[in-house]
Amino acid sequence: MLRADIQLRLGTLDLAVALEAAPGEVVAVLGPNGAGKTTLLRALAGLVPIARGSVVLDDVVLEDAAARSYVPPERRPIGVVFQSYLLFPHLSVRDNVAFGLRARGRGRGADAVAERWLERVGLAAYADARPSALSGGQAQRVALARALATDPRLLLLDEPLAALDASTRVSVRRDLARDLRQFEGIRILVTHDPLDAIALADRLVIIEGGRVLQSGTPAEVTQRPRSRYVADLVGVNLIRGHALAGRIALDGGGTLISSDATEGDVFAVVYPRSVSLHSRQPEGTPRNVWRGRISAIDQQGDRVRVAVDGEPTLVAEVTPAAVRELTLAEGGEVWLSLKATEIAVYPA
Amino acid sequence: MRAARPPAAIVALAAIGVAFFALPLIGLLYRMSWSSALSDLATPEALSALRLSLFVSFAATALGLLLGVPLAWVYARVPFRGRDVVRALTTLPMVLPPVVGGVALLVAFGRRGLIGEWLDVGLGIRIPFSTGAAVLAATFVSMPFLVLTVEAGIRSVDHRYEEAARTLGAGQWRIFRQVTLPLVAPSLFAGAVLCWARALGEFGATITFAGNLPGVTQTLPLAVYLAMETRPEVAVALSLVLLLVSLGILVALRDRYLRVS
Repeated sequence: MLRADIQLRLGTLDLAVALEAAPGEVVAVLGPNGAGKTTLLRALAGLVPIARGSVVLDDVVLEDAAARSYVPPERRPIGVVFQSYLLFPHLSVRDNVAFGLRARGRGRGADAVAERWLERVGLAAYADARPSALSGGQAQRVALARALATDPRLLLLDEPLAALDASTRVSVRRDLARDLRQFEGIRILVTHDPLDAIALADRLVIIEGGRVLQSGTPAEVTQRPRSRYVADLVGVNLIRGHALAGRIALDGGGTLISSDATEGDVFAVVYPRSVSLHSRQPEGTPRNVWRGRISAIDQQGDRVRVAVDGEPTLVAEVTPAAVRELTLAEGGEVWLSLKATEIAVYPA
Repeated sequence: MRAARPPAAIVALAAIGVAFFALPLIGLLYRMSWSSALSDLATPEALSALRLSLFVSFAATALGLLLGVPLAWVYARVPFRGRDVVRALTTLPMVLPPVVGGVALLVAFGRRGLIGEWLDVGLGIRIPFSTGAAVLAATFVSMPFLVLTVEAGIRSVDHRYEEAARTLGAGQWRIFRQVTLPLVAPSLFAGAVLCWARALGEFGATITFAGNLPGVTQTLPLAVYLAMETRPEVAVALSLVLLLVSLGILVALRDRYLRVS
């Protein structure tokens, strides 16, 4: 069990994140660049001191700012896989994996243990190789074996796939998911890639600007985004407002009629496919209808995403044929309609 | 694309610059009496000076490594108040006339010196005019080369390797020995060679602090100086030996380790 409350300032970053993880859990910390993800990992590892808060792992206090207690990184039962792996270039792959064992006073038989780990990640044949002879995916597995060889209680992975090119990423992600399952402790990985997070983690923690915006299973987070960042990742429109008797007064102006009974401060999610565009005011019944000005048209494969400024401002997704028929152009006016049943509403 | 023709004036001045360094070497080769070279070099005085020079220069390099590498690490990794002043102090011998260094060493370690008197009276150790003094003088002038080179090397090592080692459970001493030092091995080697070459050529501080005692403190440069008075052809032969050794080292290291960054 990990219970961490990490508060610190570093440069322009103001980090205040509470994080809990159960044994055996894989937690992905997902956020944009500069959100404080790497600093959070470094603080957990003890490489950055925290100004307030505490880090408790399996009932052992690793750090408590108030009590001024601090266990240095070399005495924390934590393994780290760094973003660029940081395999020691002057040591063989075997000696890299055995380094932690020797450093922790388990030098006897360290070579054999290291070789067993290399076998587990499928790289026994590379034991005598230098790290420079490895591919990116292989280097990552060696880094993982090196971090796990000391039997840590907590494994931290910093952007484990960011250093790889797109062609190897998919297979390395699959291997990593398999290798991670073999480890029984807590695993926390940080990433800015939602695909990595969803593929590898049981639970997502979304951070932005040093704060936790949302946390939950990948399904919960993607179905009920609570931040613009997640909404953009998932590709949905997220609108905030106040709901009362089926009408949502939107924070940014305008009103939406919803068939959802939720009341109070709410988030409303609108899938771009649900939004219809028209060149003239559409006729019909219980619909939301409003006018807007097109700010951007972005073709993505066989779909076109059309961003429309209005009340509310949102993105509609239409076919290329519809773009031609409606003669949509940036800066042009357009009517939008949205069924009341197509709006997902949940408390903010 | 063809490189543009370099301006003639620059090329001419550069050529004069090369000639300035090359002519003395050619002069030595010209004045060298090749027929008697072997017998000139095989005299007991010359051989003993050569032996002493090798011993003193290697001992100075060893002492320089022992003290200089930790010093370089502190400069590169431990920020402290007045670091720039301390670093300037330990770099001073690079610009100081060596004879001034010799005087300073005498004032500190001489029989009436700051520490020398205490060493003499308390422990019966007399440093000046001994082989040890020659080693100290050589170390004094040559160690700064090693410290500067190694410091630059340590600064260029990615600090995150040391962090990775920490998360694997390594303490500072283990990290220094097993991560930092191997990663700076090229700089370490370059620094040691520069240090050794400077120690081999040391003259001023040695003759001031250690004197000119054949077999004890009379290193090659001192022997050359003395031979100029009595047997110039021996001086020429010894000079050439020194020169070729130094040139060989610089050529061997040229791009690999002595890159000016």
